Amino acid sequence: MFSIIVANQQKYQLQNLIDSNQYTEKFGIRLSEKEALILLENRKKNLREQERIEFGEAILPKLIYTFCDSHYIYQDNYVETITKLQEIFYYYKNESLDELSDDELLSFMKEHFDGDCQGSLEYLETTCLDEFCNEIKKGCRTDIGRNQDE
Amino acid sequence: MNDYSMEELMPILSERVKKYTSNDSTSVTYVIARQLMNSILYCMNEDTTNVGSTNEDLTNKESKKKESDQVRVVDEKINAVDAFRNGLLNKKKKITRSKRLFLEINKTFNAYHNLCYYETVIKGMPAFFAKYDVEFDAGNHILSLDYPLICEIQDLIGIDIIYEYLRRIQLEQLFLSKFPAEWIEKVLLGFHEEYSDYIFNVCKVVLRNVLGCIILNKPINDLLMEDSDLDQLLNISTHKSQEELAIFLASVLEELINDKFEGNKELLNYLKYDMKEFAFEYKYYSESESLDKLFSKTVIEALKAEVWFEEGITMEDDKLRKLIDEMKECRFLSDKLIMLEKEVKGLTDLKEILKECFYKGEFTEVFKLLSEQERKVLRDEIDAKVSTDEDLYEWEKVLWEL
Repeated sequence: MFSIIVANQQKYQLQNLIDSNQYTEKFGIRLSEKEALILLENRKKNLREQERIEFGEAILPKLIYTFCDSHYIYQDNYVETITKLQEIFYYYKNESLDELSDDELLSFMKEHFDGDCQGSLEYLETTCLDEFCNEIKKGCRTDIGRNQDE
Repeated sequence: MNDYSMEELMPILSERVKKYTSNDSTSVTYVIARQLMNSILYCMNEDTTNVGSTNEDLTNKESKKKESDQVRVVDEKINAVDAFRNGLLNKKKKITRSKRLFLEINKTFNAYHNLCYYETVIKGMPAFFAKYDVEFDAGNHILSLDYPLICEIQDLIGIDIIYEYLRRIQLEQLFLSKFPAEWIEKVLLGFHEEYSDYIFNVCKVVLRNVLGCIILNKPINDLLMEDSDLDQLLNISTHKSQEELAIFLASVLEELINDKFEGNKELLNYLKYDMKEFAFEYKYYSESESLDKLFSKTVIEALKAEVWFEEGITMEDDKLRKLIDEMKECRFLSDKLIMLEKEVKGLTDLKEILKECFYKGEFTEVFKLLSEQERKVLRDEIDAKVSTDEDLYEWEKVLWEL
């Protein structure tokens, strides 16, 4: 059932991605329709692999708007990087036990991607996010998500 | 429920996901999506879930009337969003009705020292109302409802099963309330000497003994059977087939309900469910000449004379303090007695609890739990205090005067 839902959203999502070019062009990056379709295909695959279902505004446009101004993203690695970031995002939504909101996870990813990771997706995934989510699982983080101190 | 297509249901699911995640997340796991979808379908299924094979007959006119204030879902095709909203509203109304029903039951509830009965109703229900999530997991009623009913509920979940369970508990309590608690406890003791820890239906055991008394023309408050009574009951069953027995028992039940319960139809219909099984067991135990398994024989006094509280056994201080705090919060004497029986094994602890948790009118009920030997130990201590002009606690005064 959920795979049908994901398929039905495709057309709407494609338009959204193409529309994002208007904003990203000022950072020298843009998506062709073919590249947008690749991203959407990967979205479907990632959601299926992580056993998640997405509604309304997908995370892809948000991901693009968050990362498009990064010094480590340029036209040649744009699709590849966003593809990997999307995969990491869904994976760590699960790993954080859904304790993190989308904005919190995106903001953490962006801060570290531009900071100590210096654009390394591997370091972001296997070190920064891994440690972060372990802390969440142990309940050590009281500054984020549902564990947030009142 | 009207059939709705996936296209009609998806916007509702999408809206529920938004609400569930407080709009903080665009995606949820399959597990959560399934839970939310089941919850939606359960709410939309409002009216049809109330009609199960065994539940239909129990729903009398009065409760039908109560349901009439619900927003109708099934009569005509309404759009899926409205059907869900109406269904959810109806479930919320049912929660309110169930809470009211529970409070009503709680006023006079008696578990007759049966732990499972007490835990399921008195401890379980408040926990259910505190944790039940009608918005996002409406079909999950959380409780396992361990205490068995005379007539088990089929095909209901969520708040529907809880409401129906409470209604049936109320009927069973109504039945039991017509008989003195002490007699019922004797019957239960005759049924099983450790009945407090046993998982069984109290009403069923009492009902069989009451009907046995009526068949024998014995006064109902003379609940316990002698050997000669059992011989008579055996004689009756040998002349009847199982089907004839079931009809006969149903007529005896009707006589009882007319006589003692002003012909309460709902109670009659409910208890009638037990007659087939009763007839089967009656026949079975007659053939194996073991009717004492069905009808409680006179309680052997030796059972009550067992030494239950022993000198020298004490609980750890913090455990005792916790128990005292819990007992102080109990509204009913019966609940306190159950806790006392279950937790306290030593006379020293018992004295401490008598001092802090019981009041003047309640002491005699505690003393009834003690054997003659145990009372003697306590009396000797009080005598010693009196002889040295020491002040006595309230409970000591009461025991001394007994």
